[in-house]
Amino acid sequence: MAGKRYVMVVDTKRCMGCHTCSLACKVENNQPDGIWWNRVLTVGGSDIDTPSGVYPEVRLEFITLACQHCENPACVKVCPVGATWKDEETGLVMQDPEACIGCRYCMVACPYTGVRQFNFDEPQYSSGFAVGSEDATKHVKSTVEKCTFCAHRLAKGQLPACIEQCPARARHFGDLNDPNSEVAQLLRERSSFRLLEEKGTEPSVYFLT
Amino acid sequence: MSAITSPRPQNKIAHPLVLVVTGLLVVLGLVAWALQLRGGMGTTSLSNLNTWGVYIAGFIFFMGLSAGSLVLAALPILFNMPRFRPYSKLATFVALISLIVAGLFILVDIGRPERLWRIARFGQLSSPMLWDLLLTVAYFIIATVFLRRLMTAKSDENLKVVAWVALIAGVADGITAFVFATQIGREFWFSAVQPIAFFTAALASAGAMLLLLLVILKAAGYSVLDSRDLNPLAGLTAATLTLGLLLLVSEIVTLSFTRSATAMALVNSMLTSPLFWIEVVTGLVAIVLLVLPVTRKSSGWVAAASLIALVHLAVKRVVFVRTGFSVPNIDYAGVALAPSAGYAPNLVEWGIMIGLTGLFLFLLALGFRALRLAPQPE
Repeated sequence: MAGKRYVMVVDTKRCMGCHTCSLACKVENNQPDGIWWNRVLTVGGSDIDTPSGVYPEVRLEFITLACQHCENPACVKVCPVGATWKDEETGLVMQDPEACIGCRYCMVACPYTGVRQFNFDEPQYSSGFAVGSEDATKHVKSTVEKCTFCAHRLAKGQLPACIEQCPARARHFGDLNDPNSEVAQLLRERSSFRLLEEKGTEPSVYFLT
Repeated sequence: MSAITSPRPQNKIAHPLVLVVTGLLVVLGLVAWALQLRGGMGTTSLSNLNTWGVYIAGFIFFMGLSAGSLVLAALPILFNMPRFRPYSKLATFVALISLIVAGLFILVDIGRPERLWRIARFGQLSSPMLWDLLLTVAYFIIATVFLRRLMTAKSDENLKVVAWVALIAGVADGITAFVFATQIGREFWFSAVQPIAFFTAALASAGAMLLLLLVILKAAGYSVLDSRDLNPLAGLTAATLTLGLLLLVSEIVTLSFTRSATAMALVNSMLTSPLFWIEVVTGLVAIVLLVLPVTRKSSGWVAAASLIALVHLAVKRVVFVRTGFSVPNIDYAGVALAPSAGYAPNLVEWGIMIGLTGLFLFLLALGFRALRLAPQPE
């Protein structure tokens, strides 16, 4: 394939679980109340931001979870109307709120729990006014939405909001098909894993360990 | 007067009161649907984690009832079963109306039903949901043509082709299962056993429904079949119910044997769910009642067994859908995407379920009134 293959690389050794990427994403994309395209999950205790184990033997790590923009996306195959598709040029999995019929089959098919979210109600905004980019994806009642890797920013030559605003510089973004890109180098030099690799979806989000 | 419309409607079954009561249920369902359309899917208890619920279970149930009824309607024509031949028309009518109800269960589950036209315009053949929709359209055409031919054909020889088509279409009910069985993200559904299990349950539901209707027809004086005549149908229903339970056991054994954390969590979520045990117990009771010589001789017990079997099969579909969501693939703590309590249908969902079940009964009563579904005994 000649096109780009955009991937995200998250350094679990640098991530401090501050949730800034979640908020950056939420603001940039003007997400309605209750919608979180990008979440920071606690790998530790059963509650958010709590460690597992008993002091002093405790463990606390974080992973961030959003659409994995899979090479072999389960969601694209099941959408009955083609409202979600894989962009040939960038490898991004896109979602059109104007085409979605709200059957939620993509949410059923996606193995990555909760990355696709449904507007169960008319979108509400506690800010009372729109925030973020004007050209970000619109939110439509009774349709599915998800992370776009900030496709509207990429189109303007900018990085996704979560990458730019990570204060720990734990997040990296780039074209894996370009061997000189930062992400390609990081993945060559460091060991990494992807989530639920056994499902065969070939996710585009890597976690450095 | 043509033979299509009856000069003497079968009013004992299609009493105006039946139409009024079931009609009121339909109105209740319409009110619930209006509430859901106005408020959005947020008026149901579905969530980002329990994406599908009782509507999808209702679709599987009524689609299965339609498929099984097509098979039961075709068998007497193809394989010389004179006792059951008079009821092919009834079974075909059940197939047609349960298909309509199944389609409506999909309609109420869609968040934006006004965009459904997009399926015709932009339909993606890769989607198992589209396979289902095509199957639904095929069933509608087949059941309609079959019913029309049953009312007009001079002899059964002229019915053979359409009966074969109906039989094959009925067996193809397993295609419905591919919506679920192809999903690698849902460990419980991702199993080659599902198409077989779906067809087995489909046949069981049609058998139980026909048994129940034949007992009622007999009581109303429209059928001469006594409980002994019903034995083959009772046997078929009991056998398919048993196979369904065996397939369930097989799934639990294969899941448990892996001892993987998610598989064990799945098995655990089933074994600790009261609904699962309702499924198992109602299934066993129905089988025993249909098989024991004492009970299967009694019309009353056969009717009770059939009703219990239908409850069993409806609960089975709810358990099936719910178990698909019971164990998330990624369950690390984070911002909550859904209420922590599991999924149970709320009043809006109950209203729509009752309304659509009411519609099935309303159409059935209407069928008895207008089409004289069962032959008048001499």
